[in-house]
Amino acid sequence: MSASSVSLTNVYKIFKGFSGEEIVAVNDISFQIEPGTFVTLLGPSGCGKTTSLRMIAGFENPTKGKIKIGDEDVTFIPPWKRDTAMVFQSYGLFPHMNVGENVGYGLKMRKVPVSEIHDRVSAILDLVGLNGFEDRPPSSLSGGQQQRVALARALVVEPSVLLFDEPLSNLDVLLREQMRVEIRRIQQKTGITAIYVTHDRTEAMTLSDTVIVMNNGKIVQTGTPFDIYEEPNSIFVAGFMGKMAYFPVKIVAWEGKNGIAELYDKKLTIHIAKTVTPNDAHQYVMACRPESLKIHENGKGAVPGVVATNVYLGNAIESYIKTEFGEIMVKSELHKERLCPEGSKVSLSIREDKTILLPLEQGIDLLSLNKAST
Amino acid sequence: MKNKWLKAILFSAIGIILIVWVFRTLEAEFTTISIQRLKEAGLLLSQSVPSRSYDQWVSATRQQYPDILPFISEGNAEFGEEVRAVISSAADQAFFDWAQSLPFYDYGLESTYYEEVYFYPKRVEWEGHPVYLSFTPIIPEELGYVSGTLILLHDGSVIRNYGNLLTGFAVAFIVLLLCILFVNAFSKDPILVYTILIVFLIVGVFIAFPLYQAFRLTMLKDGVFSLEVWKYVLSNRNYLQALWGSILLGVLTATVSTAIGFLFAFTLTRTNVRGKKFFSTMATLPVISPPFSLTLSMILLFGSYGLITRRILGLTNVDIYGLDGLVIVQTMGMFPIAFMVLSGVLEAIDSTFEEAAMNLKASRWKVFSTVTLPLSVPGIASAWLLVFTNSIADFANPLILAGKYKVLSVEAYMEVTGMNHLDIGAALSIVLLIPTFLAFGLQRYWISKKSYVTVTGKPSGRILEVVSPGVKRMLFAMMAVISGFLISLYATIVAGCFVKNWGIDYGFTFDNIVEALQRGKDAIGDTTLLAAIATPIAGLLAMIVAMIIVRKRFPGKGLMQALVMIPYAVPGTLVGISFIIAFNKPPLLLVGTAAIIIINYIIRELPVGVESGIATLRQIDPSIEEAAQSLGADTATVFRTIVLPLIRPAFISSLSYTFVRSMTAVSAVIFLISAKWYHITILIYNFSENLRFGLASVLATTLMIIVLAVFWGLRFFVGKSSSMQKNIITR
Repeated sequence: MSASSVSLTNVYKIFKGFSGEEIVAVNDISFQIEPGTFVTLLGPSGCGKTTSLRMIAGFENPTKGKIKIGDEDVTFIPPWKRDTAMVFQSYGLFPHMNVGENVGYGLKMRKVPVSEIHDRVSAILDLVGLNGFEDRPPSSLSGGQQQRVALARALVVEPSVLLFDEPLSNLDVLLREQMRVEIRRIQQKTGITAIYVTHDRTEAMTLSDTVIVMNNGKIVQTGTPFDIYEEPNSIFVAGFMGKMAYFPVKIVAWEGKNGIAELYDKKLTIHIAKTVTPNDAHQYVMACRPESLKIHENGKGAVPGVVATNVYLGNAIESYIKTEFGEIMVKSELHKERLCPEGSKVSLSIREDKTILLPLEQGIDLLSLNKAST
Repeated sequence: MKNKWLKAILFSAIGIILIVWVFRTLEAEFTTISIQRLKEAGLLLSQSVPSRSYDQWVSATRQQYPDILPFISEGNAEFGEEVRAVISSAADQAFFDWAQSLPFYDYGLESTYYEEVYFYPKRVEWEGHPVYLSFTPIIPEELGYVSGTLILLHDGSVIRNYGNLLTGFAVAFIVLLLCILFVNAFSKDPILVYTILIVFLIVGVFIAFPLYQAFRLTMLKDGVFSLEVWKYVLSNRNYLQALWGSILLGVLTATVSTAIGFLFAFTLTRTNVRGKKFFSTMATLPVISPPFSLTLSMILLFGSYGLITRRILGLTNVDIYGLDGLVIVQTMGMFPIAFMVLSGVLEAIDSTFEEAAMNLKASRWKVFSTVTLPLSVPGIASAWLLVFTNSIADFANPLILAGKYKVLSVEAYMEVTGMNHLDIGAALSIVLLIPTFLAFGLQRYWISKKSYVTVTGKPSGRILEVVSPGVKRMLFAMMAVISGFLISLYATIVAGCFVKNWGIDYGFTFDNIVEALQRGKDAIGDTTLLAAIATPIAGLLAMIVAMIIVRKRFPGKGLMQALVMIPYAVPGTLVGISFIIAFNKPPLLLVGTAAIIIINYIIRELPVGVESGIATLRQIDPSIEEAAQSLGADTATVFRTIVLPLIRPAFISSLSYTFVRSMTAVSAVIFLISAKWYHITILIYNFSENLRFGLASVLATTLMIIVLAVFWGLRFFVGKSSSMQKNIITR
């Protein structure tokens, strides 16, 4: 199986809406995917990730721009002539064929001899853990089994690029976790190039070598899961990857990638994400994850506040603290004796090395940020 | 990209050069051979020219050879004789005046003095005709030398027409070649492009073109634009009366049918009476019954010699012909349409609404009048308009039963078949088009958008007891009465097969059956054969059109959808008349052939087939087709391996409806039949007109048997599909 690289260059996709107005679904995106890597397109609904995937598959044609698979310009080549295979959200299994015929369909299209089809189908069903399911009709399978058939069907043709369109959205949580591991394992084993679309950040984190975060048709940040989570380049990316606490600071000076920031007359050295260039004209906020905050019963912490709610999660406690900057969530491990009851006055301390500076866009209100970020 | 352009242009150039060369050669060959023949004819002719008194010879020759006009020039200049044209009429003078001015005239004469034939190789125009001129020496036997010149005018129109034909073919070939080359080179999905082009071609030639021709004919008088026809039609009292008659009939039928349809639909969906299956079969049976069958039984039962009116009740002055008879027959035949629409609507109304009303202390009557009925209003309006459209377009029933009551569909037919006034017939059926089009448009685009009913796709299961037992009994009784009436009508037809002479001699006999089958076996065979041929073609075409409409985006999609739906809203008479007008001259000389009947069936079935195809395809998850594409299947393969197998049940169901409707067609077919291809329904009509009711009954019964057999046979194999029942029947 030879994996291919995939590259998009200045790709636009513009649709005509209901009353004839133009909808720009994909707004000038370019990226290059190395062969054999697992790349996730991550973003909220409507950000253009599915449209981009469909353009790579060939179900949509870009309004502008070029798409290459390997060295071949496939921009206008129809889907059946591209060496890609797609796993769909709704599985797309052919109801009038059994599992074996479904999985063998792509091989039939490629005029593979019948005996070889039989052997390859068995092998691939083995790989996905559905040994002996050849004669079963798709309707008799569970969701997880159906999804594995869809995966097997795409894998067996040995495509150079494997595409996934939110394949796990229709499965329950446990199954999703199980399938995630399976998909990653199989991709590693076969070394195939995989492009995965999802709005679930956990999936993106656990599956990918690279994550491409998209919003409003544009790429906002590209990087490893670590980069995206620890070094987000914007409030949007930070918030999308998880809850954040935001504190207003005044930047007094810049030292390379570090900003000297002032909060409550204290000077803190906070770095900025690798991919962001410091700019004197911009405002910045100091942000950190809920796990990097600590609640103190006394006034030892820097930020005073009152406990609003405590939520018990089993493996952790989420405490919502009312401060002057809004309601800030703190995630702490379960230590019963340290739990401050609702209404008690507390103070928060922030781990300086776990904070990051994020540019504050015009018109964004800090209070609403701290309430809204999920 | 540039590579593609170069290749395409290169191949086009080569192709064009080849085609032009081939056709030029063909034309040249033909011209040469033809001219050779003309030369030989001329030589032969010249040998019979007398040495003087040419007049007789000239007129005899002109009579014998109408394609040749001979003229004679006396004298041989070489011998010093005076050369003069032989002129015996003004026409001759005109000819020589013209000919002598031709640049080659003198040369032609000269050639003949040397005993040579001169055939001017180019066509010239003489008095609007294409002609060839030849000069042949006259050598009378007794003289032995050239005494004059025989100038012949050969008709060149055949050669010219052949040349034009070849040019036409060449152009067509070139266009085809260019299309193929460029489509293959530049389109990502050439099969789709071909499909779209072919569908547009079919739809354009067989739907748009005939209608256009029909319209055009009504605007012409002696080849010039004129509104004479329209002025005549619109000011004629008879036609206006007929228009009013059609509309009045439509209104009455629609109202009564909707009421009866609502009765059945409501009782069957909202109560738990016994025998639901029986009543719902009753309410859909007339859909597959042949035309004329209900009129036939009405006459047999209630006519002036009817079983009930004369035999049983002893009345002598009953006239079943006219508005009352028509309303009864049309209502019996069309209330199933209302029933199907209304039962669909009532089934979709969630019983939660009624439960909520009852919960709020509304009485049963109040629930009905304030919840159920208002929610059904769009459905009722829909049903009413649908029946109205069918009634106005109805042709078969009024043809027999209208009597003195005039309706427009029959008037149009009379003008065409009786008086051969195609233009008036076309105009009348176009007038008929207006209310049907309006009703169709209203129903489709205004009312269906105003539906308050949410089609959740799942019927709520529980049937609430919204009527009191007393009301329930009354409803049951009413349904029973109507069903009984319906059964008796059909039973009468079957009975009519075995009765010697209905109304006069009620003796039992098999003679009718024997005679009818003998006389009708050709018609039965023809009808079944043509329907059987048309059905799979119509079904496949409809499916292909549905597929590209649902799954593909292309310019002109809206136009194609509209064009395909047109036959739905157009009365059968207009379709039939426009077919006669459009296809009675070459190159599309189809009138009188089986082809035109088959094409008519296909076009009539297209809208319904496409609609149900679209509905079925929408139920298939598009991911399934996309998955196939991503695994390497192109459009045609996806259609063949994925779509067709999945839609097979619905497809077969719609095929059975197509077959039934083709077998029972009347209004368009009556214009398209010929001595070679007859339709069984027209034969039934003929027998009825001749009062041979026994024979008519046999044929009607035979038709019913064939239709029921096919219909139930297919349903048995495929299983019931209730969405198919919503197909609306027009004849």
